Amino acid sequence: MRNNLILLLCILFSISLVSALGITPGRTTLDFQPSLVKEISFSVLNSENKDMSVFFDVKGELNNSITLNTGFAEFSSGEEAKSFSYLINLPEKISTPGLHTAEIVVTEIPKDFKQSGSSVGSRLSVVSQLYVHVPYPGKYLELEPQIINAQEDGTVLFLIAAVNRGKLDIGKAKATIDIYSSFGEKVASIETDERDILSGSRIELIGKWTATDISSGDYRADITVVYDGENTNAEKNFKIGESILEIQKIEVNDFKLGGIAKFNALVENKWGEKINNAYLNLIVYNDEDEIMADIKSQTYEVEPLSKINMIAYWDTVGVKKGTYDGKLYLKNEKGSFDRDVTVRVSSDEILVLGISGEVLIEKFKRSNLQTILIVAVVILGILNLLWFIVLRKFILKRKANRKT
Amino acid sequence: MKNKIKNKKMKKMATTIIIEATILFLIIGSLLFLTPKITNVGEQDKITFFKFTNAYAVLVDDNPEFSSPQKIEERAVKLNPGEYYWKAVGILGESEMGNFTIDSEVVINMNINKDVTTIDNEGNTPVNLTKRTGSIISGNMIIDVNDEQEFENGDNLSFEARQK
Repeated sequence: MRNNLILLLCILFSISLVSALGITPGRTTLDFQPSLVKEISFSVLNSENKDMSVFFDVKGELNNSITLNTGFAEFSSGEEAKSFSYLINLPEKISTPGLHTAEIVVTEIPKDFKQSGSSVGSRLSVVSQLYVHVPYPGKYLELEPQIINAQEDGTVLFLIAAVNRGKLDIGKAKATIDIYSSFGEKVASIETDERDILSGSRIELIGKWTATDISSGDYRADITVVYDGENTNAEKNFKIGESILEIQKIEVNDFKLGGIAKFNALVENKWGEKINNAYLNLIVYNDEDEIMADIKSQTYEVEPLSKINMIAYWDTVGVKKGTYDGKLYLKNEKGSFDRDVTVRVSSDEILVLGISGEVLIEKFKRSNLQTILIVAVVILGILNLLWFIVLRKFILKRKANRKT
Repeated sequence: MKNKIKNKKMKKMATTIIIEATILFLIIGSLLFLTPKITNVGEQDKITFFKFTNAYAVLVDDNPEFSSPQKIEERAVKLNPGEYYWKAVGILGESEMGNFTIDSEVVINMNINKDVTTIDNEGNTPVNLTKRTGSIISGNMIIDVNDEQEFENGDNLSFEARQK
């Protein structure tokens, strides 16, 4: 009897209540237009696929401009998502420039809430935001800096997205980027090109820094954008020299679900020294976020500035078709590189997604073949024209000869 | 005799012209038919699929000027929410430009155990989570994608998640 009671208590304490809710889009952004009337859709996601009810609420300074089509909705376990909408009716004028917001708040309540009229336990809400940008009277620049450590030839790329939130166009905008080490020492200063930015538009100011002979570590970029006599600032921290080994691509050839999958990973050593004990480790998670597979290659020695193929095997007996989250590690004696990946398993194919995605510093150049073909067309065209002229002359001459 | 030679020459010329015209036609045809083309962009399970022909990669950028494009040598990729522009790249150059939007998804999983409540961010965007005890805000934090936060259980707790 006592044992049974202990067991019951253990079961009661180990029970966990799970609740899940989602909404998309998380944000809708608009530029202010006087008296704008617009219907905006959003979806509520029943990500746990259960019977549930939700109620809707509107918050925020623009709440009076929003009319919700419904205040309450019910989901059955088979309904993964449901679409709803709200109507916005903006005033003729909003006197304060800048960002104005409203929020559609969706709160999960028990399925029988309407009958019982009450709920117990913690409540969960998700929000879909409405952002309305009211333009500033003059020129107003917003910055969103992004720094990409491009690694190849040590180039660091500064992408400074600049949005003109003012009513007036900006004629000349140029960024100066001062780079400081973690000791506060200024190590470089670079400038971007000068660009014009139309009212309401977004451009990128691009700066390149070749960080050769620069020691690895933390750095700070102080960004100042000067535009038509005004300026605005931003700051961003970044690292140099983080990754040593890099996965170029990963492929699984000749695969059949239920068999052994052979992963071929092309790995590049970007370091000037040999790297020992390097290996590939792919962890695949199931829908419950549990480890479904832990795939490891043997250890390799990677020569400096060279590429090798790392091979790992996965026995897919019992694995179902689907898309799984995964984590790809490239471990070695100098550290570890990891990347979130998606593993897509079908009956005859495994795709590991999320490996590639290099950022190009230069725009694509026209391919050689295209240039050759264009040159060939031009030459052939000229030749044909010449032939035509010669032939015409020949025919005319012949006709003249016949006449005589 | 002279006319015969001339006729022969003319025939040769005509044959050359026909051969050249055929080559020209083939080249122009290959330029027209082998030029990269974009067909469609789809999304499933948070993965974006690109459909294109005569290309080996796509360029994706968040601005139509393609000032800092991402070169993706896969037909599918996981992208962060946002508005994107894309082109296909083949040996005969680039296709015309297309655009698509990845909507942000705020998805929260709440797991209430004996002592603690765990909140997981299962969406595709970092969230700003507001914790309330009754009507009073008792906490505010950012949770990154696939990250979680633990909270001590209490009475009248509520959690509100919005895109960061």
